[in-house]
Amino acid sequence: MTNGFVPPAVTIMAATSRLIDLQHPRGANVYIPAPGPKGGTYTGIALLVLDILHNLERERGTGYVTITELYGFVRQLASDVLLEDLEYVLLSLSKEREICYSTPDEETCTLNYGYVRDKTKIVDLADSRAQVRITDTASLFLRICENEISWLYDESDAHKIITALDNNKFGDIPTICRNISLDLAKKARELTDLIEHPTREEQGAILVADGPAINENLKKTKETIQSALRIILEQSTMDAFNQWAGRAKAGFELGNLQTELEVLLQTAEVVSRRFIEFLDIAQQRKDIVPSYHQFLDMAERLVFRCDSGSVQRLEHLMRGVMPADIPTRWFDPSLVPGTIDLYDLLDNPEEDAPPKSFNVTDSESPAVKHFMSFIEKNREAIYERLESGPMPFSEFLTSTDFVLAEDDTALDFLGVYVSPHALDSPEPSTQRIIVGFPQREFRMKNDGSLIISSDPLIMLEKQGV
Amino acid sequence: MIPYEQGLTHAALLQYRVITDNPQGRHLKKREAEAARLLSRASEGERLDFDNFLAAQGLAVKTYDGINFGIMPNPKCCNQIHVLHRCRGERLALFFDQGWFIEAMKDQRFKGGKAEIVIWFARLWLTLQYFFYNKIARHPQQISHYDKALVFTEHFTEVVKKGIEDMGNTGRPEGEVGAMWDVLWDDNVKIDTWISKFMRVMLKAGVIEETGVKDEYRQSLSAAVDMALNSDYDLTYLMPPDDLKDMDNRSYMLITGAPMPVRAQETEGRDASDQ
Repeated sequence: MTNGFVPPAVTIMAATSRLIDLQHPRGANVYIPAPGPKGGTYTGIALLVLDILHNLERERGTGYVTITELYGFVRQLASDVLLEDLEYVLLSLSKEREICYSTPDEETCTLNYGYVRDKTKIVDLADSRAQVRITDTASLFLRICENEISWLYDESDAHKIITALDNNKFGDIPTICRNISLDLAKKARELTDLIEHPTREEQGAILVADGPAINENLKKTKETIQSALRIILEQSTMDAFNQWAGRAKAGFELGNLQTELEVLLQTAEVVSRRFIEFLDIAQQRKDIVPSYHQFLDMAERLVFRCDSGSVQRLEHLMRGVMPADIPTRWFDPSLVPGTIDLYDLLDNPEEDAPPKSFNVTDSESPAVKHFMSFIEKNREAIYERLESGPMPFSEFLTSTDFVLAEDDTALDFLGVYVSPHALDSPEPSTQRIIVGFPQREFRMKNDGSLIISSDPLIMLEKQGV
Repeated sequence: MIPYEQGLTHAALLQYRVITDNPQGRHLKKREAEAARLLSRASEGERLDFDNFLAAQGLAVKTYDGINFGIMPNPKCCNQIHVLHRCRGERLALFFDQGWFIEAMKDQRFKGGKAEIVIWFARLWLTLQYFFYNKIARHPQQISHYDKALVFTEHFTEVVKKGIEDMGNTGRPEGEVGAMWDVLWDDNVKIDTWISKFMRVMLKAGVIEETGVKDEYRQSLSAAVDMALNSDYDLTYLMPPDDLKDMDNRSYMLITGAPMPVRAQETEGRDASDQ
């Protein structure tokens, strides 16, 4: 048995097989031919032969290879292949068959019928039937197969963008970008699949083994796109685009191409992040054994293991797994426990205490009056303290025994540093208070609230001394 | 996110459960794109605030890059999919009605009790999950295959009927154990009516979506995300106890939500593959 890895050539064969079966319609029934007894052997030999001939062609150029030599190469790779099987396969591959097809006609909007014969043979036997070579159709097939191992080919695809830019083929760039984007999207989905499915270890292991190369490749893809972005911004590209746009009547601007490339760059970044995530998970996966729910068995078991509490437990379970419904059409914050009902605040605004303000103006507002009366009561005590030297504001607040009326707090003193002239005594005096700001802050607690304020230095200046 | 934007996103998530600005196979819903973009472009701090706001209601939102589901990015869009789901460990806010489906399964002709509805509902729900997972050999953690999980009502009915028939042929368990058997194996039961009501409720709950083919439905993305969580937490209750002596331990794990030890899972995995 194989190890679960399907060669790209087989994938492509499988991809076209159902199309080929449409060549043999059998009335209303869908025709699915069963594989013959030696189908697997012959397919294996055919792919082997194509591969060997392709390699030989690359080494020696186009030309015939003798079947004896070919058989020698085949035996090196698979020693149990019989010569008669090889001959049968070569004969079969060298025969032409008819492939019917049809394409829609643009003018009449009906199908145009056609058939092809010469494209169907993929090896060419010499007249002697002792020599063989591959045809152009086979080369095309092998080229597609090589592209199919495409985890490592984003980079070369991305290079197409730069080639298109170099050759002023601006019209092709959106298509190339979308093709790469689609390819990356498929890969991302494949990674998601491997991440979510803990049992597909084999496929995962192949990617893990290729990890450094894929990572490097994604990195280079990003770099290529970035350099394409740089090229787009060059003056010469802009000129070439304008010329081309005038000639080709393009339906887009250079800015659109830039956006396409930027999105492609983002996509490549998402895929490389996803790949790293995959590698991370693949390394941890070894100890996880997935539990698999058999839903129909569960349903059976419920019936035959029923007891008095079963229905109640089942209801509880169903309430948990079913998405909940919202019976009300309006969402109001009061529906969520622990949040504030904004309507309550609107309805009872008088509960809010008026904010305290330290703006001292000449107006006779209650706040200013309150502040002035506080200063009046404490002026002497303040002057006494400052006699001994300058003092930081915070120390003033915490250590001075202010005379407090009923609704006063020490915080009323905060306003003083914005209007020190309020402290000047009403009688003519040689002293006045000066405030300096050394850019310090202090914090204190008062009645459960935290006060953060700047901490100016307050000092007494004696004039005329 | 200013409060208006939070409110808009919250409303869109509550109403649609899945929001994206690049939907596949359907049109954008009203203000869906706006809400999806707000969520995609929110800063980390804003997203954290929003997550906390949702967690207070027992909800959470998962964000997927569309490309990880094989969706080709659209240059004009953020290309992310946001799915609202239950936040495990947080109580669902009181304004949600979790038992709504029981009322929804009733119609004017229905004379039975709540127990009957629960038994039928659970059976049909498990059969539906069989179509979404076992039938296409998919694991509940494989969220990305949600669009391949299809159920055709005719086949669904066949499976339910066959299950009930097999159950009837096995015979009624003795005594109290047969209570559920009695409900399901009743001559007057109209299975088709139960199924059509069930499908309607599932459609309303957003567990299934219409595919455009009559009577064929697809699992919704939000249902797939929910199921990935449910299979880890809730469904363990329905799994067979492999060793009755271990019952206390299992119950304890179910309550605390601790993962099952690897050894127990291995046994279960083997059981599953034997079946």
